[in-house]
Amino acid sequence: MLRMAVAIEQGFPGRRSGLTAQVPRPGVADRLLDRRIHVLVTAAERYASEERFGLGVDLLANGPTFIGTSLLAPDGRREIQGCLERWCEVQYVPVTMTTLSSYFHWKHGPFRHDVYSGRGWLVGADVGRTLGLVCDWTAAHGRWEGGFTFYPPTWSKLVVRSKGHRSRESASPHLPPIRVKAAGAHGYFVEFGRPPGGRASGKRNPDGSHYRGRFLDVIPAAFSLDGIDSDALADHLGAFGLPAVEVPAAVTLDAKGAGELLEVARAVLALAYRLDAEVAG
Amino acid sequence: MGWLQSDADHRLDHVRLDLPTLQSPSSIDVAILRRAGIVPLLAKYETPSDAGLDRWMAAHFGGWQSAEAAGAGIFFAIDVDEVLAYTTNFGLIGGWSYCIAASLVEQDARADVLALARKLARKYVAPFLERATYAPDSLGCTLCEVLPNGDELPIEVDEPGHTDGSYRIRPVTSTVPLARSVYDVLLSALRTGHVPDVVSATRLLPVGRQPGLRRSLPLYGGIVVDLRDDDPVQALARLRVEAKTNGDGRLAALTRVALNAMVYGNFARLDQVRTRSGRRWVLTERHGDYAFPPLAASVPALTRLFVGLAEHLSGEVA
Repeated sequence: MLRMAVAIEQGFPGRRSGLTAQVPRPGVADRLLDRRIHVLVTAAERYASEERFGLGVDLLANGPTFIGTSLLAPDGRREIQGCLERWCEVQYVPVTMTTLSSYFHWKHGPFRHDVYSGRGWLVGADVGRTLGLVCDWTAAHGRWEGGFTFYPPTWSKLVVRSKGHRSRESASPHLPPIRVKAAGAHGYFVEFGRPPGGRASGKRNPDGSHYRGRFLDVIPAAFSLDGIDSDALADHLGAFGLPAVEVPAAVTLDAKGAGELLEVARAVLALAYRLDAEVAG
Repeated sequence: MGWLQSDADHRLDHVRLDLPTLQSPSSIDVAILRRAGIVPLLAKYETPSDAGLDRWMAAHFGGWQSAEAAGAGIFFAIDVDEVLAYTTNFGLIGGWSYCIAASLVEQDARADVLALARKLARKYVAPFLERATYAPDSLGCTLCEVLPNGDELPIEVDEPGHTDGSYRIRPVTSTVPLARSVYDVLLSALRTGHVPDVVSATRLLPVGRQPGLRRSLPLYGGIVVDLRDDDPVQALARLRVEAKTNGDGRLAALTRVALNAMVYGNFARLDQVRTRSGRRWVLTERHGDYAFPPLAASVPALTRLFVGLAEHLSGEVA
């Protein structure tokens, strides 16, 4: 007989405060096809000595209507611009080349115009990594501790404080950080944080609360609708009858790398449409 | 039609599942319960008390079930298919009635439990099987406080070759009562031939029907569940059978996972969260919206009992 001095037993953390005994009346959810869709796919630079942003592709659609493609190149890399511009020109559907800072520019960039304004969605596969590669990181606090907090390029500035301590702050009282935290096996909570300017700053919802954004990570959504416990995009594409494509962790900064990311972005968009159709019938 | 869409929703292009909030198939289950109008159980019921919930959690031994979970020793069956065991046992416990009840009351079930345990201790399994077959809802969620003296009960052990936090069924002796589901007590009686010292046994009885429940629940693809005499668990199980028949592998895989989450996972859900404690943020646990420890403890416990019954019956045949 096994003799134990102590039996390990679970306890219950107590009834949650804030859980009400009201009959839930769930409302109508936002539909992907009702707004602009930015599918953003990024990859690190292959063969770089440290992990850094390599290339990105943005597909823009207005609901079900495809509008255009942008190739995102890292800032200050003139040596790769030539071959990437040539690649853009020869694509069957024209591709616009832009830089990371232009795409995320806090005033003029499409990310600010569409994603933070409330016009549209940001869709990706593994959104945490997608944004983590391009954004400027800062410390995560409070309930977001253990996750990531970062600012898109041009949305923040480095501030040097006393004793040489440096911190990253928003470049404007109206610009919020993006907070990301892992949820479940494959998912993320992603949202815009509060802009630092107080109650009247930044984008607001009709009820006055700060706008949290519309971010869709296709991996957990696909897991929820196909039951495949995997964070591999290819597995979920296959489940929905789409050609399987994997998200590369790193690509070369040339036509080959751009082509790989374009293929992935198209697959993510196709999957997003299938997911939307699954919930909308 | 999509998930949880009625005819009107489909015509108006109204979507009832919020894609960004979907983290796993259990998200669909929570959406189903909300759409049905079911009030979160721990907000709806005052019984069990918080102390009672603590005891139910102590009786909770869940997760992946294997043949070894029935106890040590040689298992005569070649294999055990438990894929739909949780779903079936949720029905046998009367799980849906716990979800839709207006309130719960506690009933002393000690005499009932001891009578059944004595029969199982004599290897007389027919009364239990008859009850499961002809009066399944009567089994219910029953919590026993047991003073074990060599009784074989599930317990979290630290054994070489086994991961931390996993449980095994082992002979246990204790000077303080241990909380265990009635099904684990009955399994011990069956395995050891000895009736455990049951200090108390309390059955939770669902009473009434909560107000605000939908009469019909649109589920998926035009399937509507009449909640007056059906439930979404059975409807999902039928949907899975239909998906397998039609060769829809994706839907079959999804409904398998969704069913297990609906009949066990959501009721056992605890999340790590950061909450404010004074000026600091601390890591704590918080239960899920539809967590309910009595169901979380009872479903896997009944599954263990059935595995034990299978072992006993196959041993008799062998």
